[in-house]
Amino acid sequence: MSSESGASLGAFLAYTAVVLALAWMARRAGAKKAFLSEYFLGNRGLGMVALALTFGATSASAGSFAGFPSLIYAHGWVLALWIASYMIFPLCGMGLLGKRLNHMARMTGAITVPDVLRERFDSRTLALMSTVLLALLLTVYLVPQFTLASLIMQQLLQGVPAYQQASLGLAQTVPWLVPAGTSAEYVLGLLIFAVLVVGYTAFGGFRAVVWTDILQGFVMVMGVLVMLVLALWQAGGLKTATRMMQDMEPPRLGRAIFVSNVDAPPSGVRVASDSWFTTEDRLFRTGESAIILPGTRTSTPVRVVEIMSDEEKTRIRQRGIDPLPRTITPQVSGLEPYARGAGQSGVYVQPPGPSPSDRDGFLPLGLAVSFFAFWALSGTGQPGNMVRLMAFSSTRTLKRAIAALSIYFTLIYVPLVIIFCCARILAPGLDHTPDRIMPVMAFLLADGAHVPWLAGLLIAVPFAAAMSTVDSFMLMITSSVVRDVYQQNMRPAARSSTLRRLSYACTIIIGVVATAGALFPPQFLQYIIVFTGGGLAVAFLGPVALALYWPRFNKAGAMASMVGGFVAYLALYLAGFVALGAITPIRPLGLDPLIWGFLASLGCAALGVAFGQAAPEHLVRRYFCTSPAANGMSIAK
Amino acid sequence: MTDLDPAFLRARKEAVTILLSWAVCLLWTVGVSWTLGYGSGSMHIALGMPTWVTFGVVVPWVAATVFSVWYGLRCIRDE
Repeated sequence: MSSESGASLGAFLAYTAVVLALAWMARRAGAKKAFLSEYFLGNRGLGMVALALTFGATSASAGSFAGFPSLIYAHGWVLALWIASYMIFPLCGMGLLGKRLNHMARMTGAITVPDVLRERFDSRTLALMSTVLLALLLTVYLVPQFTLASLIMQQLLQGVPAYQQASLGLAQTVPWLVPAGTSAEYVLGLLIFAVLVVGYTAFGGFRAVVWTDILQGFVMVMGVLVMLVLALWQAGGLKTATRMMQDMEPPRLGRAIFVSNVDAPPSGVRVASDSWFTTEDRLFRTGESAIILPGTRTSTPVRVVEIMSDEEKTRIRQRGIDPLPRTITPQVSGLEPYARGAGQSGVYVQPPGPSPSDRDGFLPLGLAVSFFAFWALSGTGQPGNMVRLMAFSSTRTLKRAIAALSIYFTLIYVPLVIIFCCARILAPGLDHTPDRIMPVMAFLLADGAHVPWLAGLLIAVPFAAAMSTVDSFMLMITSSVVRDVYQQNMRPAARSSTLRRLSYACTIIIGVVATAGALFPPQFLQYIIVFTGGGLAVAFLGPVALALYWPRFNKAGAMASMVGGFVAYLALYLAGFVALGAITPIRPLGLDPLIWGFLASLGCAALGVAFGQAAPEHLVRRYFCTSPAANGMSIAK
Repeated sequence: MTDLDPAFLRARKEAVTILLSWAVCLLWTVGVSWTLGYGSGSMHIALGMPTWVTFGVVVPWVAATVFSVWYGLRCIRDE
């Protein structure tokens, strides 16, 4: 076993042991408390560190440490603008709704977001509607998260002999469990992840999820800060890295076959992934392994990247390139220039950034405005974040958590942009497979610092992010089903032991469903995550915010707001799917569907209030007035 | 309504301030990025980053963080 594999395995085992120990401690800590409030809200006892880190860790999904780095690598400094609204997100996400939501949840004894809506509007229909929407969208959201987590797990453990043997055993003993298009390594990674995360979530409930979130939050920030120091050191400083990026031109992406002038031996001939090769004065890097089968002379086509700028070529050659065997000749074809940025230097440091497919570049101005609204609105409107706002212990906790999370996100997102801009200098030519840049950088930086075990810690960062999102969402679906469907609508007098068993069973079933979905990994992972995250936000932000701050907001308005916002959002995606044949929405005026969905949600809310039955006076007084029992006072609209 | 809960009124005022602070961040970030980045043909470096990143993203980010900490700790009222 290589030192890298040993480091990865050691880090993974240590991390798993700590997660399981935390789950066990959490279960003991909550053993003697009322089941539902403890299992789903930790008895509303979150302190400052717990609230800040569980909020931060749940918000930062696997996408933050896999998808976001790959976008920085592919498009450069413009990603600083793409993610910029995280500068104000902690204040918006916690401060906008936190105080009122926590107050209303305590006043009514609400445990879930649909619970709050039911009590605020005295409407079972609204609660049931929001439960169905919540459970559906969250279940869809879980599938790509499981898929990403198992890909990370596969990357983490692929060099470990025991993992390779177990994968082989899995493929031989239960081949039906390895669908076409996947590998035994992927399925094994998926199963390990599912058992681990379902196990500690079902076993320890909300408290375990929060405690593991704290651990995961620390792992994330420590990993990012260590990577920042190493990346800047190895790139020769930030100014040097920016200057080098300024000289870069976007690569050309194409395919190559490798031809041998003799028949390949019985063991075949392999040109490894990420191999450099030259033809005449041109420099290429393979994006996957090319195999020449025994007795043949030609490999199957593989993806290759051509480096274009002279400075970059010189730098790579100076580091040294292992030549291909003399008997092998590459034949490159189908090279495509970037739709924006081809032949131009400076595009990686100037907005809108280069794009292989879009002539307007990666981030035209309209999209920049959209994303500034997107992250703040989408994050604030996530029911997963709202639940955390129902669980803190006092306003003082909320205030300190806002301050702590603001500093935490600054320490995560600004360094991530810098690290993966440096990655363009340190690990060039990965433009065909930028999703791999996080693990590639982890190993490269640890190697460069001569501290191989560090790779284990760094590569645990995206794994921790995936776990912290998945556990929260699984628990939220469980709470929706057990509390909002079963207890509120079927068995109001259900015993605590029944609810406990049902909660465990429900969490396990959700885990099995998500695992089964991830066995057939969907395409467009990042798009599904963005679509479902945005869908939840447009469905819940308007109704919940207006329920908290508009005394005259009524049941009809809340229903119209929830349905109207989601339908408008869905319609733009469906129109894009019909017109473009991909999960790419139509963007009127260059603005994201989330903005239109949110505007539609507000418009429908106003219509519902104007034409629906007025909000009952006792509800208005209960939630907004100092004297709920007062009679005979007129309430102005 | 004559007897609205003062705690509700304070929370609403705080929410409006937060929305305004988000709008200020949006205007600063997009405005400066447009002026120094989208609309500019040349690239200069400040603090090791492109100027538009430094003054359009990093400086407002630091300002927003300082504001969030101050507003969170000093201005949101305990209830």
